[in-house]
Amino acid sequence: MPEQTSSVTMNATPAPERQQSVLLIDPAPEVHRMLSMRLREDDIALVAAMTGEEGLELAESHQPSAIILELHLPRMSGFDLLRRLKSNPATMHAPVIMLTASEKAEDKVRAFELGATDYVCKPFNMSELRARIGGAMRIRRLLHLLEQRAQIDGMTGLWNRAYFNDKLAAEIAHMQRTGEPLALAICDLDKFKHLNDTLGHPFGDVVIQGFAQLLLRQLRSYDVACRYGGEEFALILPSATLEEAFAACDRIRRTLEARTWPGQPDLVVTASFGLADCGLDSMTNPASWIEAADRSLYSAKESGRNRVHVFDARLGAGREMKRMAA
Amino acid sequence: MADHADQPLRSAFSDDPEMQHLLQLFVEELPQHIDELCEALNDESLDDAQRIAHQLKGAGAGYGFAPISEAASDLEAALTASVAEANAIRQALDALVDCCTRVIA
Repeated sequence: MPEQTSSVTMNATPAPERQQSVLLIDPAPEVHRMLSMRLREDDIALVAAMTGEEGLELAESHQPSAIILELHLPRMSGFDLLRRLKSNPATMHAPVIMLTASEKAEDKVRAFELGATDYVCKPFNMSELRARIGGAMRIRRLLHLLEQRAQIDGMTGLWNRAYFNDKLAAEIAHMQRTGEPLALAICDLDKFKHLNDTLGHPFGDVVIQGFAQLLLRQLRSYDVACRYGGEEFALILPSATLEEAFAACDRIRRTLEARTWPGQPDLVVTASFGLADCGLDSMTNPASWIEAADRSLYSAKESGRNRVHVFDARLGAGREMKRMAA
Repeated sequence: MADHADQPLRSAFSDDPEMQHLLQLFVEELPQHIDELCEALNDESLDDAQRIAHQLKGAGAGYGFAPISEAASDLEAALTASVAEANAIRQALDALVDCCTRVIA
């Protein structure tokens, strides 16, 4: 499993957004200019190919979010090109919108059979084409998400516990190999059951989702935020020293405490954090890391909640950060 | 069409300031496309003529000149007819040229 997970890009969020681009394969420069300008309004970059050969190359090198393909190309039929795009693993995932003057149903059917996502007849209406491009990119995003679904928590969009287990093992192995620091935090929303009981479960869900968003905003791009259980979250912080991890968790803690909630102006939600770091020889496997972080979380809760505790191996328990520094 | 024969043909987007530059380019390049089209027809290279008509059909409406698209579409249809009729092609070409000469940015 570590081999598999190590190939996954390290990201706090499972579906990273990157600059959207659309590849247009059409021999008419007028169409390129027009589409380029119209797509700029949607913050989408246009990659231009005038021939099929160029289109194939750019589809591979640019990995566009969508491809718009004119059926009538010099030297190559759009259908042939579509077939080649869909049989190449490097280009097969990009949704293709066929663009053509042909209204023939058999052409449309053929395009869909060959794997086209959509079909637009020329002369096209620019707003319609833009809407269809948006639709094609949305489908692509959803498909991408589906592929990751087994590793994603449905309610928050964070990684789920299955992913966390794989990732923690991989990061521990990485730490042992490279000697780079590593920190693990487990955090739990304080008195969440009371919140659910008094304000209702739908509002509880809002709080969990709000906290997940806050985590994503506060963490670095290579940190990994997971929903560990109901109102419990785990944060893997690669290359973070104990001090850095403490600072990150405390910042999250303070931001949450200061946050206001819709329809509940007086509500203050807090969380407790338990930290484990790599300064301990005994921590060689994921179970020992999780136990250490859990014990720190327990001691943070026992000490009054809304605080970050760190694990102390001599005590076999968590304690405040300040005393560690002394 | 005879009713509008002398009317200048404006783009449906002529009020869109963002489109001004693109419209100007399009109108400037129109004569070149028409020349290529006539040349292709003179050489009897119907494939080239068809390609140009097809592109004009696509671009015309995209630039807010629906009549250009319609005329280019008629020409394309005449060129792809199972039995190419010189007369029909000539008529469609004339209509398209007439349309393009009335265009202003």
